[in-house]
Amino acid sequence: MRTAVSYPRSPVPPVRRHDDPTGEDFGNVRQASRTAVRDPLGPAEAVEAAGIPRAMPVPPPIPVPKPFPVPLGSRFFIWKQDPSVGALGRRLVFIPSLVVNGPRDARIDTSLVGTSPVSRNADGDFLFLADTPEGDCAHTFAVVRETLTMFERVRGGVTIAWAWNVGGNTDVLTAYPRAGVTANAFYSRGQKALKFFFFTLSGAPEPLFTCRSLDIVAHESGHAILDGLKSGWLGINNPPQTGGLHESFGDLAAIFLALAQLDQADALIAMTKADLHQKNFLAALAEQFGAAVGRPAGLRNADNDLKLSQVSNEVHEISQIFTGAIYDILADIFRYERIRQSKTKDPALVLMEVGQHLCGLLLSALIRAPDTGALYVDVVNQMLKVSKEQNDPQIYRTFIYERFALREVVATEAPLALARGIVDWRDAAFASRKDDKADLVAADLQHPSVTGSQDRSGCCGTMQSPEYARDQKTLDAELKKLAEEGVTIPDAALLADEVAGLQRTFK
Amino acid sequence: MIIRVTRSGGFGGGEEKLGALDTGKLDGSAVARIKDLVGELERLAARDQAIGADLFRYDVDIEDDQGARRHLVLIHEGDPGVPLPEPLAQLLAALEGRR
Repeated sequence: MRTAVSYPRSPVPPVRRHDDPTGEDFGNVRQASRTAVRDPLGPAEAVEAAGIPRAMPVPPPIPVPKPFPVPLGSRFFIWKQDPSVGALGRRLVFIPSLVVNGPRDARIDTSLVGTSPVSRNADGDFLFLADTPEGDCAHTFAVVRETLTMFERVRGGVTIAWAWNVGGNTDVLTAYPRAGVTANAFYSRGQKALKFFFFTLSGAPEPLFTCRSLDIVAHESGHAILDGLKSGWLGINNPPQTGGLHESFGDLAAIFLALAQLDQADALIAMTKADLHQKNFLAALAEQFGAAVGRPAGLRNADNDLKLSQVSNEVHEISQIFTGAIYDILADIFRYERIRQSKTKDPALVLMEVGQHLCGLLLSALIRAPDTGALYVDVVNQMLKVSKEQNDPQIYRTFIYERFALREVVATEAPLALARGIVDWRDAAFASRKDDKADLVAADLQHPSVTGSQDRSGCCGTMQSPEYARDQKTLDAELKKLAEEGVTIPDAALLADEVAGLQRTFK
Repeated sequence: MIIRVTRSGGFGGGEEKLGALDTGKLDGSAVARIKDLVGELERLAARDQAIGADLFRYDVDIEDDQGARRHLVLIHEGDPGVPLPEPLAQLLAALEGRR
């Protein structure tokens, strides 16, 4: 038993001056050590008080310098799915890049008349109550930013330009969280905008804000990102399948974004016992919006069994074929990897990694697909090609082929192993095709989704952007000045270096 | 002349048949007005239209008295603050009046 009164205190050791070459002030650390001495006797002092000889004097604590400069970034509250998915609710996220009042950064702005720019707090965070215009601005910005960052990361950090970022143009994409009253949300290239509307169902106590759905915000962000990569896909005379790819990419952006968050992956594993074909929030897209229009399993559901012959040419409807196949492939690869890594990794981590891998594979395939008139079979063949190039296990390509064959997208070469239940989930080289080639053909080239026309108008040139380097040193210096001296640096000046870097990138 | 209009798209997707109009059942001045509207819609459809995703798409199918068919597509962003192009709004009003 040790108490402060049972033993005489040892004298307070003299405070030693730490000759720190960096010149940092460790006053707080010294203070901390003094404070510690004033506490009740610790084990070392008790030993000393009891007359037990020390082998050697206790060295003074080594001060740990504070990291400097202060890391960039802000915290936001986001809805994990949407307000109707109450079990998940909201969570705090950290956006590890410079965000100024708006919220705004070098790529994304937020606009809400009478509310924006929303100011960050003294810690640089955007933390607001859920049911407020400020909270909607913060949530919307954060989800758009996370979606863009996710796709840039799977491309190895390469900046993804918006469709209008050509010839040095660095105009941002502006998100309008409360753009008006109607049951809709859209991406407009002409307005360089994502618009999220709100509406009130008859008898409902409060409006439904589409901006509060992670799925809807990620979906619209996905459109803007894909338009930056394949600007010809929203152009004139594309077949319905090209529009379907756009819509599917939006829904898949929401799925991959949820999978990129460990807590969501963990919740999904617990909810489904690691079987992605169990009912779950990941596959259900835009739950609250869906419920409002009478679809309790989500406006669309990625875990569907639809085939090409069962849907119309409307782009959202036909998109469910592609989304469903990719979701099945996700579940298949996850199942294979979960078995393979069962003794070495938590399933939630395996799921996150599989999600990231498939996201990268899909994005690469989409980029390589034709610049106009892309069909599902084009993307499937590119997925096979990329998968082989990056030395994925052959069973991945079996899943890709079989899932799209089951949905009547590509022609079958032989009875499908998945349909017959003969897949060997432990065999990395499991194949059901004769050759491991990317030469699949469409199951039906006369299908209306291939031959039909969308008659959309106009398109402009697209571009691919090399990675850019931001002048971090300058930015850090400005932030330091802001923090230390309380000098207000205009937000535009804070972003100036990053914007200049983008100008060089968006040639 | 028979005119059919369908709206599709928006975030939720789906198709909605907005109605059909048979000019054979209209008087002479109304027929002339509808023909003018169709001409304006054709010019409108030939111009650059909004580009984006989850916008509203209006498919206008026109079958003339000789059985020849034309198909026009008009895109509207669906922003409630931006009115529909006037010829389209007038055509929809005419359809509404026939219901």
